[in-house]
Amino acid sequence: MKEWLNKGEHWIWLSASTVSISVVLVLSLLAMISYKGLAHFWPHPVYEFNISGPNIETTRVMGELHESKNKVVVEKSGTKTLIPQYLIKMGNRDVFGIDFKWVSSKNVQGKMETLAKDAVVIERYEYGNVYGHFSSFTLNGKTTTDPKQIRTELQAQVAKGKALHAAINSIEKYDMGTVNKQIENLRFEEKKLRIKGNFTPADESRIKAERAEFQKTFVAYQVEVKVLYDQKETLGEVALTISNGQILRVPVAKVVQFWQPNNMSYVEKLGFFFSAIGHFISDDPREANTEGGIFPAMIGTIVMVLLMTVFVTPMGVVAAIYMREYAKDGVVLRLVRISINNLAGVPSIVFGIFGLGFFVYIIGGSIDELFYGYALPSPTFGTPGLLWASLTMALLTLPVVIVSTEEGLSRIPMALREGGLALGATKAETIWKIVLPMATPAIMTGLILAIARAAGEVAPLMLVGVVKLAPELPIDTMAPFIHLENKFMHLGFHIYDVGFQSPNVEAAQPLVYATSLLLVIIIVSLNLGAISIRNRLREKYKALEG
Amino acid sequence: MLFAVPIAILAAVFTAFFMDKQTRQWIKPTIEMIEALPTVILGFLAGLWLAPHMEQNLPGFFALLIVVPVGVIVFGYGWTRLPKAIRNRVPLGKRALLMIPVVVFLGWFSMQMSIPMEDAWFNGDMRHWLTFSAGIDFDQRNAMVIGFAMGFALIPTIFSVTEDAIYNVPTYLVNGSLALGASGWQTLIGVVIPTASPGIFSAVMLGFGRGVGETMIVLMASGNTPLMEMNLFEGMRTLAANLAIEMPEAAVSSSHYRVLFLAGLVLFIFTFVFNTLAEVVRQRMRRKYGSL
Repeated sequence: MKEWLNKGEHWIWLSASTVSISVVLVLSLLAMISYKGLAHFWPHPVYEFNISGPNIETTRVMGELHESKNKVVVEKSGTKTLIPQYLIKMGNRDVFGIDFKWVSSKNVQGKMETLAKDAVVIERYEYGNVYGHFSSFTLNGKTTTDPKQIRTELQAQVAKGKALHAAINSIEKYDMGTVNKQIENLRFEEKKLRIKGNFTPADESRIKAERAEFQKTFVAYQVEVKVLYDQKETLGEVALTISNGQILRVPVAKVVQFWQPNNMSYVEKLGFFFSAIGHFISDDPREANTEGGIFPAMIGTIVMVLLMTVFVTPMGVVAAIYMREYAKDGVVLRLVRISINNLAGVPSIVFGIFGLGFFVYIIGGSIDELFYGYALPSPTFGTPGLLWASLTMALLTLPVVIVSTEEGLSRIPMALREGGLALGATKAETIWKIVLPMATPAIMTGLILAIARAAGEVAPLMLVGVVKLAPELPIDTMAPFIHLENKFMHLGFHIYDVGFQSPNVEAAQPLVYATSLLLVIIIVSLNLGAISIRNRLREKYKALEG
Repeated sequence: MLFAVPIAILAAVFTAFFMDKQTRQWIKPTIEMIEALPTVILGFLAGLWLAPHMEQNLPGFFALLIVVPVGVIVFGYGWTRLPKAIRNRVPLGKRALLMIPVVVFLGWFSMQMSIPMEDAWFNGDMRHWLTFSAGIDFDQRNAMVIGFAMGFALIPTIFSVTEDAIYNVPTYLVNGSLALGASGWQTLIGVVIPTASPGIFSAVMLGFGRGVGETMIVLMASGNTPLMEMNLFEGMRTLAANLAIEMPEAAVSSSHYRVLFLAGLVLFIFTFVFNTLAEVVRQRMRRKYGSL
């Protein structure tokens, strides 16, 4: 044993174990996020049982099992028993006031594992889920009570409701939004003319006429929407018996979708799972972001990242070319290198306050004064927005692009450059025609890494343009299609916001896990892509050198 | 933080020095993958998952610190007692793989110990005991949670720089030492580590710089309490998190706004010093190796 210790064998074992600790940590983290994230989409079984106990009235509880843990109870005799505690998601927030309830298994009457057959879960636009049994369905004064018939009728009506909802949404958001924008533009035009001092009566009457025109279309849209809303009201309503025996009436207009988890076969569950993922990606968030999808956050992230790429690519590539191909090795270049490496190490939040102080208040403020004076005091560019966020991110990711481009350039054999020069090309031509095309994979690698970094970064974005809920997407069909001054939503901030700032953290947790999973998948796959490009690149140049 | 540095360095040592090529090829990217994980996710997990778990299994987490090293050493010694046929199945380079189930088991074991230990020494509730018997305040989101989460985020930074430094030590130095009869570990301590020490130093500096500026983890997993004491179990707030919290609320060009910018400057200087130090050391090291 002593000799074994002297040889330092135990240190080798310890260091081996640290490697495995790190690996275990990474893998278990990824596994946990995937498990919890994907579980969000799976239709959970609905349990139904009675609880009663010494201090509790007998009540019926119905809902999904959300979490369970063991509580140690020490009895007077000194023996300890483990009593499982269940966290049940009861839903019906409008009736009970809370979504969740802790239940001790001691108080459960009968078996916990009994699934309530035919239990229905309805997802609503407001107040979360409803758990209950079908009681009746009313449509145009006709009432049905046969559960099977209710199911088919409800299905048809919900589909109709969905179509109506989409129609209303498109009119309210796009058509009415366009008209609103046009009216706003007219107001600005008038203000502009007034400031210049050449606001003639002719202008006034023209603007008045145009405004009246727009207002007319606006009213027409309003009428159209009203008709749709009225149609929605006539879709009927479904009544459910919920756990406390009460009848809860849910108008079909409020229903997003409904399902009967305990009656589903495995294949149906799988279908539900994938459709839930689809909804998650393509829907707007509801209820202060704690329900629904993450579509705007995704679009916001993508647009911001693409815009950042547009800024960072030329800057980074040109800088790298200069440093590699033109600059002479010396003190200055060393200083530049050190400062670039330093830039990579500066905390992201410092970039954030730089962006806020310099871009938003100084540059944005002056742009406002110069070009958007008529809109003041409400700022146009002098407020955090998409443009400033992507510029800040471009600065943040600049070192990544520079370093990886430089590395790519240094891997290109000297012989190729000399060949180009020997054939009479100028240095710039050689770089443009020979060196750069060969370095594109390296530049791509740098860009992918930059994108991955920008997609995951939150702290600076909080200061320069990300908001909890952006009313409009940063891109749309109205000219100029990309709205640089708009605020936007971001996946990472969405996680922070829903996980920590929302009124109903417990209920929102699965959604946060799902969002995290999406973000992790995006970023990990980007990184893997970058790694595989880099490996292929290395192979390619090995052949060239050999 | 303290927990990350030894793990990262030891892991790097093993990966660079003992591990065979095949295993190294996939272990390294796996660990470096953490670097790519958005810190907002780590912060979220630390705040909403790790913090409550740590609160419940506090003795278990302390037990981890003792049980895992001791368990590993005992296992290692036990391994030498096994018949050769079994021992030779796992070469030195693959030991890390062998350790994965062991580590998982030890972790699980110390978590299982949590409740009995609580009963035996802390009257069934360590939190309660801490507050009333030891007089230490306990917040759910405390400095220890951040230490774990941040340590996790810093492992890849330290790991990859250290690993590079050790891997680049010329092999003839190693071979010379082994030829003179030193054991693997003795070679490592006597020859490899001193040669690579500037690299390791710069790795720690880089990790430290990154830790100082880390915002989201602290923002989400600490209590963000502005008043703090030297107590591991209380909330805290760092410069970076403070900026993120107060900046959106500060009026432009007010003194509050300027103070926050000053805080940003301090943060910048901090990291600037650490990074420059690391960079200078690294460049010097490169020149030194050029001569070897």
